[in-house]
Amino acid sequence: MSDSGANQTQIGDYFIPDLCRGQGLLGIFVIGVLSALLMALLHNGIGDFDFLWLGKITLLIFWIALLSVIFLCRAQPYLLHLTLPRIALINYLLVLLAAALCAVTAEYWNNYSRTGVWRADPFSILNIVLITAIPAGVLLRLYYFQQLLHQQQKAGLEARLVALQAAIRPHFLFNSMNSLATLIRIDADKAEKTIENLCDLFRYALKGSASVTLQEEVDACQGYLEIEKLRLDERLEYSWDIKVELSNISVPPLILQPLIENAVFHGVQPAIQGGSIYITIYSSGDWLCIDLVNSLPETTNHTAARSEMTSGHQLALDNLRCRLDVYFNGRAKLQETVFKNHYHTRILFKPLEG
Amino acid sequence: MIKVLIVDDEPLARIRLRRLLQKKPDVDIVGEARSGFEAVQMTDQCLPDIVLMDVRMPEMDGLDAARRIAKSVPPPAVIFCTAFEDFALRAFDAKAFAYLLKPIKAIELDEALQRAASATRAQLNG
Repeated sequence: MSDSGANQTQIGDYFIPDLCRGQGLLGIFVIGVLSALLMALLHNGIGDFDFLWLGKITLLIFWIALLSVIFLCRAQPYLLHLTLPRIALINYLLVLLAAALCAVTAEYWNNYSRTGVWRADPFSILNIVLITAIPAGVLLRLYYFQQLLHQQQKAGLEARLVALQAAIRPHFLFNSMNSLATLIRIDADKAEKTIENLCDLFRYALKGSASVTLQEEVDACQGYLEIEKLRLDERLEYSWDIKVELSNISVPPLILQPLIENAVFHGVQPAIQGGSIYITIYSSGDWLCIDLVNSLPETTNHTAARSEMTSGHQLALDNLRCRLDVYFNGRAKLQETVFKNHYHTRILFKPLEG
Repeated sequence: MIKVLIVDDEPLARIRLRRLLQKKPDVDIVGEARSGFEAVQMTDQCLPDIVLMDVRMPEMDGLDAARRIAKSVPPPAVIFCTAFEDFALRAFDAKAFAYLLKPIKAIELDEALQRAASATRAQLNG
């Protein structure tokens, strides 16, 4: 499902349900009939119910619905690369356009059939457009929030999946087991500690909660780095510089671990002389800042090393950006840069109150 | 006597191979390399019969190194040691005698060594 970036909307992620066929289309027409009934009841009441008026209004609503659906379905392929709010706005305008077109046609036709003159009352047209605008707005807003919730759940699920795959990424698991097979004989204490770390990491990755403390996240990362340190030995250098209290800051799980794993995989492991990872956590004004800096392998081709780091990073970054955005209500940033053969990733967010 | 070269970038993985090989009286470990590049150099220097080769390594990976080693005369038998079955490895067509999955089992290592050794000898005799 997600072999392209997480930021790109896909057909399945498109914010309105599939109206172009089957159930979606049927649903729209059922809503249309019910709205027509509602309007007819408000117009004449049940006492002298006007079936002719119901017929006319149903016809108008059907035309507006049909035209809207055609517009929305035609527009869909061109809107996929836009952000959710823009898609919502354009769709709304398309529905209003459909309403206006139908209203103009209906007005002209209505007046012509009654008086034989081609003319339209602008207020009647405006009236129809406004009457369409309200339920269409309500419906689109409903879809919008439904989609937001869906995206949020999906990002969370994906992150868990990514983390799980990372923790049990075959190479990582079997290499760790290979290290253990050696350690059991030569350093039983280290072997024991490694098994504990592996268990903690798996437990953390499998945990279903949507929120953890930053302390828990940092603990998981430290466990992960200890396992990798066993394997890479003096080739992996890392340091933590934590300047704030972490246990009262809540974050979505696995915001740092995937980044550190990428730093090990693309930055340290491919270099024969090894590499280093520096993690700094501090606050700056209202913002909390997590800086992750890792060296890049010294190859004859720097751009290649960088692009490998970047492309390896991209999926994790897209996913993380989406999750941070949802969790911190837009008050979070994810930045990255390359300088002097180092890769720098920064997570910035305003901690939630309480 | 079979001369074996161990190639792996991870110290613990090298220790494990050495431990397994030391139990075998007819095996002589002639060297340990930490990258594909070192492996190619040491093959030239130590003239091993068998190279136990990791796949993912810095500088030059195991597949590249095996391709270069295959060009030496006579070519040593290359046995890949990998953490996970790689597509790249399956598609590899150089003269690899076997590949072993990490953590490497003593019995499988034995088998692979026997096969490689007899093949090398057959080649020498023929």
